[in-house]
Amino acid sequence: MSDATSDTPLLRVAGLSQRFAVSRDIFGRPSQWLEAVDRVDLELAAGETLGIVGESGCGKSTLARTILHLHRPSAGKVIFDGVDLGSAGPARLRQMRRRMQIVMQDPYSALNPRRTIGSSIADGVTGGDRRAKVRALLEKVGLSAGDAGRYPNEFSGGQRQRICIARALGPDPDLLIADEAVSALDVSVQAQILNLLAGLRRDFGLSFLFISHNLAVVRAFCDRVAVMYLGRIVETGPTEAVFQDPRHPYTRALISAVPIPQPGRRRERRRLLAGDVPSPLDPPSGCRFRTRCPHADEGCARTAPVLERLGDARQVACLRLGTLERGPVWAAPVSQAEARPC
Amino acid sequence: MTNEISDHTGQGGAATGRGRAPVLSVRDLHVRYRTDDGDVPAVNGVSFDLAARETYAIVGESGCGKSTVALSLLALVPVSAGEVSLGGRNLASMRRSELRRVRGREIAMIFQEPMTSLNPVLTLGHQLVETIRLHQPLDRGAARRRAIEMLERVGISDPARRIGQYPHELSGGMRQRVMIAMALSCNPRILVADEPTTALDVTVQAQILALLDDLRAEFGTGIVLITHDIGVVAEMADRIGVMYAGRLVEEAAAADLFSDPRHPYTRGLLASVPRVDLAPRDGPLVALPGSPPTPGRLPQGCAFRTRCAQAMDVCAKPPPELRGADRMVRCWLHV
Amino acid sequence: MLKYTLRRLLQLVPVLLILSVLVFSLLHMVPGNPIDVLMGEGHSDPVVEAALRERYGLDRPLPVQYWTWLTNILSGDFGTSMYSREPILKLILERFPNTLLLALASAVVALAISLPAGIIAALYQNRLPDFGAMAVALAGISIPNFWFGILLVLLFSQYLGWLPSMGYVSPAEDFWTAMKHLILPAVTLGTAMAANLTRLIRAEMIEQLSQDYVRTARAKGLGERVIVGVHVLKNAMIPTVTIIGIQFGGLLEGAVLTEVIFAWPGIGRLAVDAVYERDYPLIQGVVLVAAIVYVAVNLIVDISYRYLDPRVKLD
Repeated sequence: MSDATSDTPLLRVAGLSQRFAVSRDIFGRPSQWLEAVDRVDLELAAGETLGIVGESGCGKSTLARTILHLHRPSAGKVIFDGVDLGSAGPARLRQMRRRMQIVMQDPYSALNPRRTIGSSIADGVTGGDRRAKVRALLEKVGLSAGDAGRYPNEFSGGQRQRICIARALGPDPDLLIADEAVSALDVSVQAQILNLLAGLRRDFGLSFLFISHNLAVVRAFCDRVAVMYLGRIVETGPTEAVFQDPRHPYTRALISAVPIPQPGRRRERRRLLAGDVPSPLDPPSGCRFRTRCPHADEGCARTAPVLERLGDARQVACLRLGTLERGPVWAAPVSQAEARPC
Repeated sequence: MTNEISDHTGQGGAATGRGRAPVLSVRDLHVRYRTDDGDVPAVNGVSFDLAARETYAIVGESGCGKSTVALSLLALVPVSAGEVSLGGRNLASMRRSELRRVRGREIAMIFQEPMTSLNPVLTLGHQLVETIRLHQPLDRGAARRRAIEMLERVGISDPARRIGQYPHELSGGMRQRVMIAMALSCNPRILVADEPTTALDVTVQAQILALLDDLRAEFGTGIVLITHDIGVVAEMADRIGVMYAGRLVEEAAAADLFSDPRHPYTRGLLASVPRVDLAPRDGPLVALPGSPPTPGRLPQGCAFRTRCAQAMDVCAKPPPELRGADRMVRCWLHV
Repeated sequence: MLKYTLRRLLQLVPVLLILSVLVFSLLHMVPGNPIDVLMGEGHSDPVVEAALRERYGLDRPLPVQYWTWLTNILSGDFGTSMYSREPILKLILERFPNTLLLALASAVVALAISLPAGIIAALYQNRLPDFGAMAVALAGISIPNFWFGILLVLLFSQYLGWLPSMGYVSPAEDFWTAMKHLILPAVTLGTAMAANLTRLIRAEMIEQLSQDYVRTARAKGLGERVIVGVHVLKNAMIPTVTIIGIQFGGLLEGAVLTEVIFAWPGIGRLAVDAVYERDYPLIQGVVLVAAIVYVAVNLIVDISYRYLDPRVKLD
């Protein structure tokens, strides 16, 4: 189905920007812009999982929607399986979009409460015996074929997310965009859904764009990770490289802010960031992180850093990279056995 | 900080044989909600003690009743049965006028949604001063000075200007700081924090948690922390109660609970949390089967038995509450 | 703030232009000819008719007529009434304050009824006071306005003799007599508005009472009186003011019937009289002024938002 070979990525995003007019002057012309996504470059190989992490307002969800061309990008390209979505006609765009499906955070509002889940899933299914395919999809996501005739309110949050996943699988996509897909779920259920997604990835060679604010989940699920701050990618690389040796000061602060479920480790490594994320309406000049960065100097206000390639397949956008600390943010590594009592 | 916390855990104890008299004592708390399908029990006999300066965390998944427990500690929901004792007085049976004097002065509360928990059309100053003057005999000017002082204490810059602002002019983290300032402005002995950082970004969450811990030490406030986040619990709690389907199923000092969880639910819950500080193991994540039950449709006996890998025939009968060695577990496995 | 107001005013220009075209063309499309009226029934004299047409400019093409009409209006000349031969602007300015007085008094009546009724209904949701208030409100919506007005006249002036049944006295002349004349029309018009407002305020209060900030207020130890009277009411008034603004336009409409019933010398009666006389220039003037007032009230409501709701930024 996919024409992609190993050296052409399934998805390539180049210089993608998305800005929205937030206020207009007396003649209705935009006078203030919100730059939600600013010159983002990404590549995603077939079968690969790329995590996008960042805090609210960093643009990660807008990035997903812009990749799907739900918003027309303000600048830049999205090339999916060799096709430039920006120059594709409506029919071609629709056809490509079917191969990129999205699963969103809220499984409660994502399903039409007045339709059976079977008919919701059947919408995306093409050709052949649709009912058989719906039954197969339901079983694939861990529900039973007999559930097709039931309504969304008869299911729990975790089950609804399974239904949403089944619906997304209907058109046999190559790429699944999971936008905070497990964030609303209880931890015990979250693990089930992550295992389900991992199984789909293994069985169907699906690629994932996994957008989440939950760093622990991203570490558990993703091959590569990109860290976003105020619309820009500040660091990207193989997940373990980034988590074991975060280089960008924001990445370091972000990872160290996550509370660790082990009482002995509390506060040992905390590096508190001051303040809140600045408003994307009025982002700082130069490096957007500089207002909260403990290492910022005058140069950071003048020059916007670009992503620079490090040796280990990693890219970091920081002017002061050479002078910064590195290594794990946690002082003492703990063995798996000690860390996991069960 | 670490030392101080381990002091607490050393001194802390179960309801039996505690070093200090509790500032808050909850006994056999029941809360039932009236719905179209009849009465639904949300809280089903919860008991715990909070010592001064202690952080007692109630952890559990959605629908387990933890937020209802939080609300009933201030009688913000009608308590069906049981006691909430505050210095010998039962809050659950107080008259309205009496309750108004206790709320905000002796026991205060902060909520999950800092965006909506403040009145959008009143200034921060109005809302702070109103609280202070309600419980303290201060004139407007003195109350305003106290409000500014509290805002400064919770880390809000330029408080004299901020006090004239409206909630929408502040970020989520700042609003939660204002909520904390408001809650602590009358120096209550107890602060109930219901998911105080759930709506916040992780870097802001770290700030708020650190602030809460500092203020606890400074003001000597005992904190009842309600959360679903196991990481937050591990960072903050001296003692932990694990709640499932309206009941506490296990309670222990934080270190003990994490190093030696006994209830199968606690074990499953702790194991299913992905770790940010460790490389993932090969193979699937540990996951509990099924979903938390909806209140009103609980299994007979142990409510967890339908998801429990170790369930036995006897689990169809209500499990006993087993106490000992400074901890409690409600499970037939440990009889 | 000033910028916003200016922008809004600028946006009004095309709206008012379209409106003026509508008002103008509407009257030229309806059957019935003002010349016939002027000539009197059954008479026809082509010479006189032609002279009249020329005098009123009716012989020129419609766009030219419109342009003349519009430029005249912009210079403050609304033309002369065909019937009374008086300048239209003068007629309207004489009557307009009376209608405004009636509308304001009705709004006061409406608020005086609906505010307490709505609040009590919300506080006693699904209990007796709520059912009572809602039943009365439903009756208020269902009962025709003019019929209720007539009932009031029968009761308070015919039967009890407390209040005058009709007419108008200027408050500048005799304030108390003026108020006595005002009461019945204001109550008639105000109760109709109150019924809708009560339902709105009740719904809004119920909505606000379930908000998180109310829970916070209770947790602080605030009494219900302060919570309802300060915290909740201030929030509930925001949408209520919008509706009052919209209904205020409705009040001007409702004034037509009420003014006729109570012989109130306002714009509404002026309009009715003008229609009966086929006084085209006067109808145009009245309709245009009513439309401008309607648009202006909406602008005032939008601007007043800023004072009620600090979240609204007008720029």
